[in-house]
Formats: sequence, structure tokens, C-alpha cells
Amino acid sequence: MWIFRRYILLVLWLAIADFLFAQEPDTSFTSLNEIVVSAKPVLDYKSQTKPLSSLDEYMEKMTNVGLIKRGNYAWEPMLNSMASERIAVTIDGMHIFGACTDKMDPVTSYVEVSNLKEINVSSGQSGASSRPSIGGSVDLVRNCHEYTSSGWSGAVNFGAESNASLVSAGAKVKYANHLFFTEANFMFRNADNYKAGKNTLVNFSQFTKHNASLTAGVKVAESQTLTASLIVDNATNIGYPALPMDVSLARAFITSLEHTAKAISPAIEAWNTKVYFNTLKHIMDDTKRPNVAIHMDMPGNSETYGLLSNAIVNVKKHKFIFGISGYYNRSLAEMTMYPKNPLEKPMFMFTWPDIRTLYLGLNTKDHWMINAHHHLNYSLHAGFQQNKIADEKGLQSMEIFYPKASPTKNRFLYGLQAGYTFEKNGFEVTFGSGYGERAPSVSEGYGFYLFNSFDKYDYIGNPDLKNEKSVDANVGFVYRNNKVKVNVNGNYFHIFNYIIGAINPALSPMTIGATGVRQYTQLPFAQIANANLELSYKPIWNLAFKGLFSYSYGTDNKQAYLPLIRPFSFRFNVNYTIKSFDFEVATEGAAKHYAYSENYGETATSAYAILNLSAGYKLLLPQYQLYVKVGVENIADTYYTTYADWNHIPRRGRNFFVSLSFVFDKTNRCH
Amino acid sequence: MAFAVLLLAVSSCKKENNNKASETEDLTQIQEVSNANFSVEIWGVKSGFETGYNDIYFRVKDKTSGVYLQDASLSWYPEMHMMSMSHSCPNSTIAKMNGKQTLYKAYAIFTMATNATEYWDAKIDITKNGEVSTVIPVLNVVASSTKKVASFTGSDSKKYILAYIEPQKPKAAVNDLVLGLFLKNGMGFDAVQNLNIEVDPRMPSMNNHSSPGNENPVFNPSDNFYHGKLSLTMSGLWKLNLIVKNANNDIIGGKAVTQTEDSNLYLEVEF
Repeated sequence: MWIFRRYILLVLWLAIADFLFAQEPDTSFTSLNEIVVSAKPVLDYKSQTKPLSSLDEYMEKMTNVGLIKRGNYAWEPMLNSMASERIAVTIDGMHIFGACTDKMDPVTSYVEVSNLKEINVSSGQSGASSRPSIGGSVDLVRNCHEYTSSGWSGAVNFGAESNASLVSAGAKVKYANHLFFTEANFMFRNADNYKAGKNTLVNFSQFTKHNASLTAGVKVAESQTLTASLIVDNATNIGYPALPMDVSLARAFITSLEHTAKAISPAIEAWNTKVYFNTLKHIMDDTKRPNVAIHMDMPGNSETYGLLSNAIVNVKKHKFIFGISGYYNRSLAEMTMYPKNPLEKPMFMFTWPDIRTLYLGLNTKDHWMINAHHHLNYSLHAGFQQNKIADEKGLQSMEIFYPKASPTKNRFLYGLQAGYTFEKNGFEVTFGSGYGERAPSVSEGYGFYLFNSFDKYDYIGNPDLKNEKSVDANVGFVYRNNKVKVNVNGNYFHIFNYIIGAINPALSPMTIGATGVRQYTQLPFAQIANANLELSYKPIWNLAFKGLFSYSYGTDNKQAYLPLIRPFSFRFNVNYTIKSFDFEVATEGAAKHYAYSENYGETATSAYAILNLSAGYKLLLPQYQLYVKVGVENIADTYYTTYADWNHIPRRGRNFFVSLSFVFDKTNRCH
Repeated sequence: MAFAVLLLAVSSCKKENNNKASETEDLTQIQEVSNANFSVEIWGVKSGFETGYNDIYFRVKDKTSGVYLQDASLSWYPEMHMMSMSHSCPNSTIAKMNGKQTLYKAYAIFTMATNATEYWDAKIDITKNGEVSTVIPVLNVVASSTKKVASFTGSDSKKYILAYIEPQKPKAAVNDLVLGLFLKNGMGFDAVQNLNIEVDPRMPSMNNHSSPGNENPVFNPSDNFYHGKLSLTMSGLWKLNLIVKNANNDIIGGKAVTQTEDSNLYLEVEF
């Protein structure tokens, strides 16, 4: 597992959980030991500050991860100050592409924390194995099963929050023996409108979500398993207070079948092959909004078929991963607007004109443990991508802007990366560099009058865009001993052919209320840098102090600031454990966002800080565990907004929460 | 020899039978009118006539032989009969269609709809073997749901008619735009060729959204119409705001679209 280790950005507060729980013998049904050793961001929700937080809330605490909020649901993850187009978000390596033209359904919105074991975040090119990206990749890793225990296990979870009357309830049950396992998992969340600080109601921020997952695995031979998995996620009545429209339905079916062979030969440690299919349906809805300029329907669909195969091969001090990855995606979205005059015909356009994307790629990585102190890792990948406008009408519409538009566009995408780690006496120094390319997203290539409510422009895709290319460098320094840990790290991306929308004053906006039209174009370059300082201090075993300070910087080729770049921000936690109780005091905040992008409709956000408190109790019996957490977030009911809040919608005000988890484990260890 | 002639007759007959369906494929018969000798079928793309540009198709059957004429010469004069006066409308001569055996075609741009007291008819003369035979069908013209023809008096005090001709099947794409511009001359109309037409397509229901990639139509002597490009970014109702100018750039009709006002000279297309 620990080959990934240096790719993983430690989550500060999760490490606190490590402190708290590493003392306890692991009796839960997850294979927690292994994970703790690998120091990955573990989604062991029982040990979190606020169990049953949404996946978005989890991710928000991760270093170098930011989340764009358009409401209280489906936040859009950013990594290294780069959003969906520049990062690859996958579920167990599976590619899923949101079905919404306005990015209201990032991949992360279709899964639940309870579906997942951990989140693998790889920065820059170190993560670009199965899909080319610029900023890095986020892989949501599902629960796995080791065929080592038999019997029943499960959990019942319940959470309630005062703000938005949020209710979360879930259950999980699993049966396993040494040849077979099956796990069913269900989660329900419901929220009303939330209140921002100073008792300010934020209308259209409600949501309802149901998520069910079913996994079954069978050992087909000694050290070979077959695992089938299904996630059904159904969210309804989702409000987006920052946007002019809400969503009546966001639904995903995510399926996969995976074959795993372990210890095939002394050299071949494992070989995993997976086929998958997912289909997403997303329906926007403006029927609940007052004063709609024009009523419209905006359904979107995205379907992806894919294949992944990876072999882990050990040759002396090298650990190689050889992989192939392929997927075929169909993205289709349309818009029908209904004129006020009922005699007029509805107005229809394809906003994503049935775009088919085929990607086939090869990748290889090597982690070379030169000796106990020196490690080298490098990777290479190459892929072929074809985009095709499958709908003739879509092509004809594109020809209005690009008379010579071709229905197909082929690209080759390459990337490579190398990193070095030196480790000795608690000191660790890492540095690395990479080169990567990405193809434009469907919206960037083929979007048709996609309204961006942030800068109030309609966006038109550009099928002639060249590949965006990036050279990145990263450096990190870690010192740790029994009591202290210091981690300083930073990265820099120099991005060539940076894709961004440029105003075309000759074009007339389509959306009523839009200022104008932007067409996607490419800047010669842009640059983005991120820096983090993490400090932790544990004077005694049951008391820990943690601090995280982050800063990002991004400019275009004319030294103008890029949008959605994080200002200086911080998080500070104190954790104390006594017997079965634990307590946390946490504060987080940001400095004034002065480096905002006026060109893209940004305005300054003020500095802020909020204070959170929580307390937990756990009862651990051999077969039963009970976890209780209570807490309050934003105690002072501060009214605030951050750089990542779309149109500056305010964040949640004071919120009391309680969560209860009852876990049972009646399995016998088989080994 | 007689056998050969017979064979030829059979084969030509067969051919005609085969072609009967394809002769009027995609067309709808609107009406049929006869005199002692001939029966004239009138066909259209739609099931009736509308104000604006209409393609009109004709077939003439010899009532004695029951055979459709292939070599007749047809001429016509569509005419509006009003309370106090009558007038014609822009139209073409009737010509045999290329690739068809029995189908003849003309166009007429009806400037107004039939009403209780005012109606259109068309005097059709069929000339065969030097003999002229006439039918005068009444043509029922209904108002088009969109504005497809505009009559205006120019700043030069002349009376013009501007008609939407193509695209008849508009798409969300760059369409071939064809407009007809005619000058009233007595009771008839002449195609105008020395004026310029500027087209500004807008969607009134979308805050006057406009489209890129349009090309103003220019006169084409092959059909005496003005040909250009019309970009439509989506389906729905589009208003083609028009300005007609002379060679000196003086405005003859219409005006530029402003924040508050559209052109007073316009045509519409809806799909």
C-alpha cells in the first residue's frame, strides 16, 4: 500500500484521528490497521469530528483541496486551485463525467461517504495514470474486502443538525465467509433551507438524497476474486441558491465488475481488471423560482463505459505498475425554453450536442527503493482521445461559430513525471517534476451558450482548442518525532495553452440577463502555485495541537489574477482525549481575498474566522461499538463567505449536531 | 415495326405508371379544377395556400384520353379581387419541372389572405397544339402564422414587397437565406435588383438575442431573388429585422434595431 504514500497529501485532522484511535485495538469491521499504517486520508467516519458529514465536508478538510459551493449540496472539488476540467475525479479508478453543463453534479455528488474507504489525492502528474490531467487526481476508493472473516457485521448511523434541520440516517450490513461476501449500504439525507450567520435564511438550499450500494464478491480461485458493485444515487429537490436554477433530479447508476488476482508469480504481486458502466441523469428545474425571465427545461445525460487493467510487478527494488485504461463517454444536454406567449413554439438547442469521447491510454509507474533513505519514482503515460459530435444537428449548430468544424477531433496526450524522496532520522525531503497534457472538456470544446452565473456570460465551446500543457514542480520537507511534526510543501504549475473564456464583443448573449458571450480560447500561459505549512504537536499522548496554513497564487500571462484561487487560509485544532471521551476545539478562517479576478466577475471576500467545538464518547465492546458525537459549528454565528462560494452565497451559520453510530461485528477471523 | 411501336408504347406507359407516385412525392393536392377538355390539379408543399411565398405545382389531365399532359404550355395570372379594385402579386411563370414528366411549377407571393369579401383566383391558360383552354380556380389563402411577406412604401415613395422564400425548412444551423424584393409596377410586380438588403435576425422572446455568421443577401439574376446566409442558434421564433438601402446607402425602408425598438420592416421565421 505504501507505494502511494508519498502521493498522498496528509489530512491534518485525520492524523488527529490516528492519534486518538491508534491506541485502541481495531475491532471494527474495516481493515483499519493497514490504513493507519499507510497514513492515507481514511474515511472511517466514526472517528471524524462530525461523523456522517457529507463527502464534501470531508474533502474540504484536505490539504490543497478546495470546494466550490453553489449551495448546500454537490460542491465542486478543486485540487491545487484547479477545478473539474483540470483534475481527474474517479471512483475506484472509474471515470464518471457529470451530466450537468453547469457543473452542478460533480462526480463526488453521486457517492456517499459510507461507500468509501479512503480518498487518494495525487498532485500534478503523479496521479495522471488513467486519465490525463493537469492539477492531479482524486480517486475515491471504495470499501474492499479481504476474505479473512466470516459472519455478519454492520452498522446503523443517525445524525441530526439544527441548521437546515438536516437529518442523515444510514445502515450497512455485511455477510462474509472465506469464499464470499456481500455488503449492502443505504444512506438518506434530507435538509431544508440552511441559515447563514446572523440568522439569515438562504432560500433554495434544500436537498434530499438517497444512496444505496450493493457489493458482492466471490473467491473464484486461490488468490483470485471477482467483485461486482452497484451504486444507485438519487437526489431530488436540490436547491442551488447561487444559481438561477435548481435541480429536480440527479440520478446515477454506477456499476462495475472487477477481477483481482494476487501473487500470480513472485514478481507479479497483483493484477486487477475492471469493466464498468455508469449512467447519470440530471434535470434542472426553475419552476420554484419567482420571477423567472423565461421558463426552461435543461436535462443532461452522461454515460460512460470503461475498462481498467493494472498489474503490480516487483523486480528487485522496483515496484512497477503497468496499466491500460479506456473509456467511452456520451454527453448529451439540451435546453428547451418556453416563451411567455403560448402561441410561440418552444425554443430548443443542444447545449452538449451528443459528444462522444473515446480515450485509450497506457501508463506505467515505478517506485524504486534505492535504499532505506533514497526513493525514486517516475511514471509515463500516453493516450489517444477522440471527440466526436454524433448529432448532425449539433455539428450544424457548431458551424455557426466554426464554419469548418469537423465532427471528429483526434488527440494524443502524453505525460511523464519523476520524484525523489530522501528520508533519514525523521527528516524527509521530496522533490519532483512533471509534464502533462489534457484535452478540453466537453463544455470547453463543444458547449453551446452555457451560462456562467458567476461572471454572467454565456460560454461557447471551441472545438479547435489545442491540448493544454503543464510543467509542474513540487517540493516538500517533513520533520517528525514523537511529539512534533512539521510539513512544508509547495507546488508550481506553469500551464501552456491555458483554456479560458474570452469575451467576444461581436456575439450576442442568449441567456436573458447575460452580459455577453465568451468563447473558450487559450492564453499563452498561466501559472498557479500552492504552498502549505502543517504543524502538529503532541506534548502528551492524549493532547494534540494541529495547525494548517495554506496559500495559493494564480495569474495569467498578463499577470492578471485567475479566478477561484485560495487566499491565505488556516485551520487550527486542539484535541484532548480522556478515557472514552474526546474533545475538539477547532478554528478555521481566511485572510481577505484581495487577489481576485475582476475579469471573471470576482469581487473581494473579507477575512473571517469561525470556531467549532465537539465532544465524543465511544463504548467499545467485543462485538458492539457505540459512538456518540455532539458539537457546534460556527459558534459565534458569523456571517461569512469565502473565495469559493459562488456569487458569494454565505456559508452556514451556527449549527448544533449530534450523531450516533452503532456498529456490530459478529465475524470470526478466518485466518 | 408495328410491334416495336407497340412495345415502345407499353414501355412508356409503364414508365409513366412507375413515375406517377414519384411525380408528386412529398406534395399534397390542394384542389382540382376542370373545363370541358382538361382537369387541372393544383398541388402544394402544404395542404393549402398561405400568405407569403408559395411553391405551386400543376398537373393537367386530358379528360378524353385520361393522360397527363407532358408538353403543354401553361401561363397564369393570379389576382386578388377586392371590393373596389383588383391586383396581382409577385409570381413566376409556370414551367415544366426538370426531371418530372407531368409536373409544372410556379410560385406566387400572396400579399394578403382571403376574407369574407376579398379573394384570390388564378386565370390559367393551357396551350396545347396551338389551342388555348382556360380554367380560373379560386385560391383560398390563409394568413401565415408568421409574417412571411411585408409590403412597404419606400422613402422613394415607391411601393415594394419583400418576401421570405428560404429556408422553408429552417434548422439551428447556418441556413441559405433567400428573400424576394419586388417593386409594384401597375397591377404587377417587377423583381428589384439594384437595392441592398440588410438582415438582423433576433429572438424577441430571448431579449432580442442575435446570431453570428449571417450574410446579407445579394441579388442573384438566376432566379431574381436575393441570396445570403441566416444563422439560427436555436429553434423558436426569429424576427428578421430588415433594412433596404439603395446604392448610395440611403435607407429605402426599415431601420436599425435599438435597445428599445425593432425595425418596422421585418419578416419572421419559426420552427
